[in-house]
Amino acid sequence: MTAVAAPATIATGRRQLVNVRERSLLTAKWRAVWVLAIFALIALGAIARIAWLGTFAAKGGDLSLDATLLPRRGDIVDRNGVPLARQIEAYSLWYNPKAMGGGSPLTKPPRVVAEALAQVFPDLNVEEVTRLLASGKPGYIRKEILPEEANRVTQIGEPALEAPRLTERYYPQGSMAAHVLGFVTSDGRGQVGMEQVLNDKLLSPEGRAQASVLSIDARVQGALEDELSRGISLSDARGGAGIVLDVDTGEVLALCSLPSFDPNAVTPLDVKLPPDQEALGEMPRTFNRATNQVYELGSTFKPITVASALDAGTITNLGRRFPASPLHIGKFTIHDDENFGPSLNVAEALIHSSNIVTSQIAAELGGDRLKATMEQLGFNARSPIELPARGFPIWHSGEWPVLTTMTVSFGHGISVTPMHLASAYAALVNGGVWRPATLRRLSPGEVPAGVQVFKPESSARIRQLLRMIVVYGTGRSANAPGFRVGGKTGTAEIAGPHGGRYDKSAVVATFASAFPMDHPRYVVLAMLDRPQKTQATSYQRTAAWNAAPVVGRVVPRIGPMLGVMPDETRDIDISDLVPLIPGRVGGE
Amino acid sequence: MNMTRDRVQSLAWALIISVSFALLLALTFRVNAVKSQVRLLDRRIVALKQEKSLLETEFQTRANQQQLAALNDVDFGFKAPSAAQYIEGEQQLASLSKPVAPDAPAPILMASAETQVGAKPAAGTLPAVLSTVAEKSLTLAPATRMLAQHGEKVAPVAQGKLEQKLALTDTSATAPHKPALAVARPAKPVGTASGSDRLARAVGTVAPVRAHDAPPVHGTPALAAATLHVRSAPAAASGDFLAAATGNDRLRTTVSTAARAATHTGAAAPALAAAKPALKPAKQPQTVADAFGGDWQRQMSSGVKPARDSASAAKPKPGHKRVAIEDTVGTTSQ
Repeated sequence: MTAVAAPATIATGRRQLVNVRERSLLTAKWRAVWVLAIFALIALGAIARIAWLGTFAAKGGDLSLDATLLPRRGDIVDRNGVPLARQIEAYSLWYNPKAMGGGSPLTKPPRVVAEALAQVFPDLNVEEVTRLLASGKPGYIRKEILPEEANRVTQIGEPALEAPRLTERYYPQGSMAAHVLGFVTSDGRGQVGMEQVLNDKLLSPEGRAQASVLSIDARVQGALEDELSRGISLSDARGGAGIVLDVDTGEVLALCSLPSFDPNAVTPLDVKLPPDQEALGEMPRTFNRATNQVYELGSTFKPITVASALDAGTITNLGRRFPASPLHIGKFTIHDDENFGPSLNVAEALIHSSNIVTSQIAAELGGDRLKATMEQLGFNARSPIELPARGFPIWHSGEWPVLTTMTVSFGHGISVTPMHLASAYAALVNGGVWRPATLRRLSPGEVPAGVQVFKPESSARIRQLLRMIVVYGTGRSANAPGFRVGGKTGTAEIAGPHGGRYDKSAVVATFASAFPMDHPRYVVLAMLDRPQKTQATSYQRTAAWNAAPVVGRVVPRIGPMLGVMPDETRDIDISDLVPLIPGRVGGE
Repeated sequence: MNMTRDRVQSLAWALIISVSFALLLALTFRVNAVKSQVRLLDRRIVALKQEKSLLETEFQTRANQQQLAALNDVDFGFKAPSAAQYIEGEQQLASLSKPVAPDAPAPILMASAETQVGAKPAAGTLPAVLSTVAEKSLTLAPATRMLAQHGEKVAPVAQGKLEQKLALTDTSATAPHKPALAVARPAKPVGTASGSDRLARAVGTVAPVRAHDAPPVHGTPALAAATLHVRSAPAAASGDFLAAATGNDRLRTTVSTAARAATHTGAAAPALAAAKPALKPAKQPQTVADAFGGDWQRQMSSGVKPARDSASAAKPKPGHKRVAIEDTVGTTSQ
């Protein structure tokens, strides 16, 4: 019995052991499966993470150092990288009554604190600030203060006077190139100038990361504004405009309209004047006379007429003489300011600025051809410059009758902006190619091909004639020694409002020029709005006495900056035309 | 025995895992600490860059074109050099020289040494100019170097007013391959010092720099070295004047940047004068005229030992060529 029982027990124990072993193996297998599954999950997670990082995370680097340093609005710089507009974190003066916790917000009486602040800011309204401090309400005392002023405020020892930083648009050069730049409103929108044009770009990541480069040269801009401002002061003019343009690319190196405004502190009156002042013909300071206001620019159109006639072949001989006695067209009479004798040749007509001869040249040329030339010069449309303020010319559509052709030939009956005229003069002197004016710096490959308006031969002749005007004619005061300036004066009376009569005492004096005439590089245009007869202008109102001297002072300043060195041993060859000017003197 | 081995193995694994975990934790903490430091440094860099930007803007504001033009109008009165002040080419420059008088001192030579045969100066840098008077290389101010790097016209400034400068310019725009030299003079006498105060001791020449050494700025590279007349300075140094005019003491130390700003105004001279305090102080200006009391040719030809201005001249060592470039850069007192 016992012998039988023992093997049974052993067999049962073995079975149990086998079962245990099987269960253990099963458990181990399951555990291995679980471990594998976990590792597989981790691997999947890692792969998914890698995929996510590779796919989406590249765009999420907003917290990088570069991103933090990006200004909220991109900088604007001139063609040489000089900052014209940038974003800064400026200090402000903020009154925080809760800075001390409970109790009185100030350690000293409000009046004493206000007087201490007045020591820092002499123009502070002590009464007003005292009221603010006593009211216990938070508010700005000053929105823009200098760092040293912030330090002095801290030294007053009032914790409630805080100097937080505000991000704001700042123009380091002040009012310089204000009409080109414009300004930014308190809600961050650009207005008036390139701030408005480039608004979206300046706010985009690309525009914020990289400064927007203008074609402006700050040095040239400064010189032009200086001299134009001086010219306005000397002639007691109401305002003025100036342009420096690259004749080969159309880039505007300087553009100003005076009086100007400070984009750092734009006032409502800068934007809009009261009705009574507007009725007097005054314009707000943000108004751009160079690109927005159209003028009858007078005799500066005469070289365009002559060039058109040379192109058309109606003038083949500059020595051909035209009668210089007043012309009677219907009930109108075209006359000159002076009697230049019975006849004038073409060169004399330009040097003496004869309306009569120019009218006859235009009549021979014909209205259609003169109009076609003007259209090719863009006088029938707004200037292509990027600025939002671009005036539309007063332009005769349809067929031009003889009288219109004649008056347009000497710059009356057609009104364009000074910007139009500067582009036209670039075409006159650069071989005849008109290119759109631009405020963007162009790389050599970006220069537009332009439109061939005049033949190169006509352009060469006009260069000679413009130089002769400055050497012998009305532009002599613009003849900066060594710079080979050539140009044409223009003095046009201003018509009264609503088509009223011309006012002899209100004129627009313009001098449109280029230099150096042996190889023109830049057009310089100066326009004075309503200059007066003053002692400084020898009691004259014409462009020869007020606008031309401005160019005569600007060119020597900007020439060397722009790579044009004065050289009195070099000039354009006008020897073949000099015999056409017997007296070699003239007046406007 | 088997159990013991298993336990030992388990314990070993546990130990290894624990140590690894501890190391992992330590490493993680260390990484996070470094990351925090990097973040702090980033913040500091941001703050400093913003501060730098603000200071740059402040300086640009104080040295803007209108400020400098007003300063020039009131105090200096400089204007652009006229055509007569430019010299077209080396031939015209040479025509201005006078024949050497009998018994005149040895001609003034300039020397330059290149460290490697055929090596050119690095772009944007000026070749070293050795002054045998100061017996050391002339130190150009940072502003001058900066201008040179931008291909701008450079005019070292003497104590007081800029009397004359020679500008070696490249007029390739109008005359290809034909460098021009410019002699610039002030438009009108300015400043408070009288003519008798002038120490007209300048007999200078063009620094051995080439216009093509500097990268051009839109096709108009221009470099200038100056021959300067030195005269007594007004009581307030120009930098002090600028600082006083603008109310910012910071200008006293950072005016060197003004020179660059001023070149954008067309009135470089005032700003260069303003840059003067930032220039490195050096010895007194020394030229031949200095050493021999001005009328040296006459004195030498008459055999009279030239009078020496004890305050101005240092006797040149025998066999040591003089360099006729005044070490006026950085002169701080006169």
